[in-house]
Amino acid sequence: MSEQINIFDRLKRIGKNTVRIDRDQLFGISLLSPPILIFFLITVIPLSIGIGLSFYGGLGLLALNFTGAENYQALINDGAFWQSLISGITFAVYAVVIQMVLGVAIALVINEKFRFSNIVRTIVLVPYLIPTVAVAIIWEWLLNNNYGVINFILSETIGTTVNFFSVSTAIHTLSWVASWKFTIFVVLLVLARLQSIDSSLYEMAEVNGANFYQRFIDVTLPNLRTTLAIVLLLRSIWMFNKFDIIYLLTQGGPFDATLTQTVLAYNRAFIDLQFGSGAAITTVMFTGILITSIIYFGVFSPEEEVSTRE
Amino acid sequence: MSEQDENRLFGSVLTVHQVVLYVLAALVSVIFAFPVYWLILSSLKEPSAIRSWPPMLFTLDLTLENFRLLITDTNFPRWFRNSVIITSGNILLTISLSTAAGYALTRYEIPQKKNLARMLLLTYMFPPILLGIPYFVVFDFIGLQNTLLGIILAHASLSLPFGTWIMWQFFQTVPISWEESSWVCGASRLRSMIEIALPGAFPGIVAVAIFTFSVSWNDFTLAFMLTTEPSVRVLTVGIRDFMTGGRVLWGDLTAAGTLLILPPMLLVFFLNKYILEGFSMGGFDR
Repeated sequence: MSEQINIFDRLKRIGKNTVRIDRDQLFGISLLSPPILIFFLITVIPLSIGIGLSFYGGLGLLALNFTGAENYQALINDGAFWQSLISGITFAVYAVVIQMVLGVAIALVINEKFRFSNIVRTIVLVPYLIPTVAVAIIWEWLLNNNYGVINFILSETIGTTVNFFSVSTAIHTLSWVASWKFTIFVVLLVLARLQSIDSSLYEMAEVNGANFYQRFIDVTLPNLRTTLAIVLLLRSIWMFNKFDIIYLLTQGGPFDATLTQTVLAYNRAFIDLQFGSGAAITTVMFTGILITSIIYFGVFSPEEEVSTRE
Repeated sequence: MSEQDENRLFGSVLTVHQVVLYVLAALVSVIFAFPVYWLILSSLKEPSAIRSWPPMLFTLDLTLENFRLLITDTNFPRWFRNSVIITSGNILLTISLSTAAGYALTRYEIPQKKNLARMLLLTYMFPPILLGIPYFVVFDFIGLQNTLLGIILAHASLSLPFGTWIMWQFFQTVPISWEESSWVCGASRLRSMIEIALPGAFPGIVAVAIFTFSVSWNDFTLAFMLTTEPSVRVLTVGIRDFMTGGRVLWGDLTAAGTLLILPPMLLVFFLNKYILEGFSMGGFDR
């Protein structure tokens, strides 16, 4: 990459007044500075402020005062916080299992060539791109107790209706509705990997008498391993930190049955006006994201998809 | 499966494998399409027929009455306008910044590239709620609370890092030698970037546009936290007015929901290719 110019070196030399910066480097600097500056302003600084805020107590924004680690000490002794973590993990594990299993299954089906396969591929994309708010409207409408289509079908076929938003059913409803939208994420990434598997491997397996199931175990699955691991990791972190679909469908209820740590953080900050306490919960979430990302970078080196030679 | 096998669908020979395949494909299609169909159909029914029991799963007795009421009797037009402004604003901001950053990161030597790449990917994992609380506090101090600009900046915090990542990858696919040969002919760096690198990375720009669109158009969390005044309410937040306060206005709700999903649906049908291309970089919604 000899055509690249080391901006950093040149900048140092400019400081020493030895070399005049040429127009090309100036161009590079002026291209990169605004995005970097804005990235720091809108992402890095708010994140740091959020962490800093977790060390402040007081009600509302005007009464904020530094209280050290008090918010964290309070969280450790807070039953509601631990319960919310359990709810968050339950929702995440439940929804991610659905998405992974159905995602692989659907990818295997639409990977086959058949008539209308293009139409099916377009149809499965739709739920993924429509807003979560629309997903919430659609399913509240379908699952409504009094005039929902699903309950109509249930009463016609098995003669009973189900309250999909009760203490015992709400977590199931949330996990399945979230999966209706996000399974496609798994489908598309698995599909891309499936299409890059060398087809001669399948031919060889077929010649050796492997049936459909054996070909899946011996050829497909080993080739999917890395993709599945990455998808599992990303989907887990995103589902664990989900707020919108839960808040829109249940607001954490009924009776806190689906009160995950994201909804708790929102309630603490925006309902109880304890911004420090809310920020402490999101800082715990950030720590989780950081640990996950260390695994992500350590095991998969996703940053190598771009050339990072300096 | 060969061409011949495919043509047998409506012929006489159907293997067990094919039957299973078609049944599964049909099942998948129904599960993903029916809920959306039901929303759209409901929005087109007479306001009085919308909650009819038993539900009419199909009818040709359609009307735009729900949409007329939505546009004349509610704040929907304002919410829609706000959503359009925020989404367009963020697309402009993210495309221009991420294209500039992507080009510079590909073509120039910059220290700490690897850590920067990791930082972009780390930010991609951030849930909106992580920045929502600090944004609320900061915006309160600097007066960006209840402004469209504030929401645009908040959305850009989600779209700019990953947009930059996409552009970085796409500029790498444009060989430097193409630009070099234009320099030999006397073209400036700016000119070779605009006339050679940008067209080469065009699919990336479309992918970033779609990604940014979905961040802003779909966002509920940030807009919900950062606005309290009705005048700056966006579509995703405003729609909740129809669901709260005791009774649900299903006519308004389904009509607004239909208009909310219309733009992304159009994207799916017209830009399918770009969506799949951008997807290989890691998806759109989280």
